[in-house]
Amino acid sequence: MSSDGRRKQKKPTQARGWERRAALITAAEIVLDSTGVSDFSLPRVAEAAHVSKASVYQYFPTRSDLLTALADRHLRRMGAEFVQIYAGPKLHDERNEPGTLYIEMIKSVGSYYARHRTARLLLLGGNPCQKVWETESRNRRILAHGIRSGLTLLGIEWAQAEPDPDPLLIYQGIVNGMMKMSFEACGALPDDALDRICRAALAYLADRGVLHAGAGA
Amino acid sequence: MSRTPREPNAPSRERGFRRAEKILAAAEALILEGGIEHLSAPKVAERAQVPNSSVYQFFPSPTAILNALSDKHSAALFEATRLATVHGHEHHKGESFTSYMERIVETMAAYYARHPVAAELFLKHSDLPRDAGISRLERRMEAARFGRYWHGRLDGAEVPETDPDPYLLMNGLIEGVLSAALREAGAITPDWVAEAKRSVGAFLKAALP
Repeated sequence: MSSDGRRKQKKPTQARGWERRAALITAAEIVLDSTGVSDFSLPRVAEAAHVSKASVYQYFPTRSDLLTALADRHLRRMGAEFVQIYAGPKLHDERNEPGTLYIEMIKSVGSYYARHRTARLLLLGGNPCQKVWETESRNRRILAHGIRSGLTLLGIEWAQAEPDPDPLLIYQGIVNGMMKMSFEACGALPDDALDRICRAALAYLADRGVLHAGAGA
Repeated sequence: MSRTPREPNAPSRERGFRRAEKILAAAEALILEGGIEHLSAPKVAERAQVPNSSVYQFFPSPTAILNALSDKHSAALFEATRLATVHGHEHHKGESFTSYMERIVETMAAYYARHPVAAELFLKHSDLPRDAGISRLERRMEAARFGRYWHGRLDGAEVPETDPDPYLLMNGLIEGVLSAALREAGAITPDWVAEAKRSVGAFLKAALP
């Protein structure tokens, strides 16, 4: 899909370069929030960031590159918010019910999506372009792996053989699909919907025989 | 009152209709090759072998093309599931709502397999143009009302109406799993259809009061 004369994406070498890149991603978020995916364009980002088009193209040769960078930022922040919960006392509580880890994860991610419309446009359900679709598919596998490692850290062993299709990928499909529907239908993620999402996801994992207690089981 | 005037351009209307169909077919082919993001009127015109102006005449923007495609496929997808319902009514007397929903899952999976453009629009893409999003949501709400009706009729269930509607959330769940299938397996394989059914079963068991 790339044309012959395609410029290479510039990797900043100095702190100032990284700052500029970060500022462009922030401008992209503001633009995407007002235009939606179909009218999002690099010239509009340049305008919002008060820089020349050329300096946007220098860091992000295509619209896909910038959308992917913004999607990555959202994922990192979403992950950071969850890690705070994950490292918190809740998960080390011996009295944890089975599935605490998942419930905390669903709540944390749901609250992030509720606060960030552009994260929903980029990541929830489908994706705005092929590049983000591919990155997101890889990230979902990484998250599945992360959940397994997390459970192992908490002293919970997974079954030897990975079941196929991976229940943790389907778990993510259930959660994402239901959240997306809730936002589309009523523009929010009410507690009632969140509760149904948790119940459905946990019941599915239990049905696959892979639901473990959050800790100390 | 005067006599109904003859429609002078009826034949050309017929031709116009066929031309619009041709343009949409070309747009579908382009979406399958390059994704939604690269759709443009000149490319569609070239593929459909019609002048640019004729694409603009029917569809003023690529967004209008996406709206038309999305409308066509949400209507057809809804019709397919509705037919599965009628079929169920006549031949599946005494079935449970769970097996009714499993048939819906199969019908949806089969539709997406037959129409990869629908999968591209509804399962892969995150943000349809506004009008397309609205008309699709309306179809899904209609499907949710059907679900509620049959749940009551087959299982005697009475689920309180909340916002968002639980049956709508179930629709989201199915599409979420089918979308995950496309990500992981590149297609909606029988293994994944089985898991979509299992997740619907889990939803019905645990997420409805």
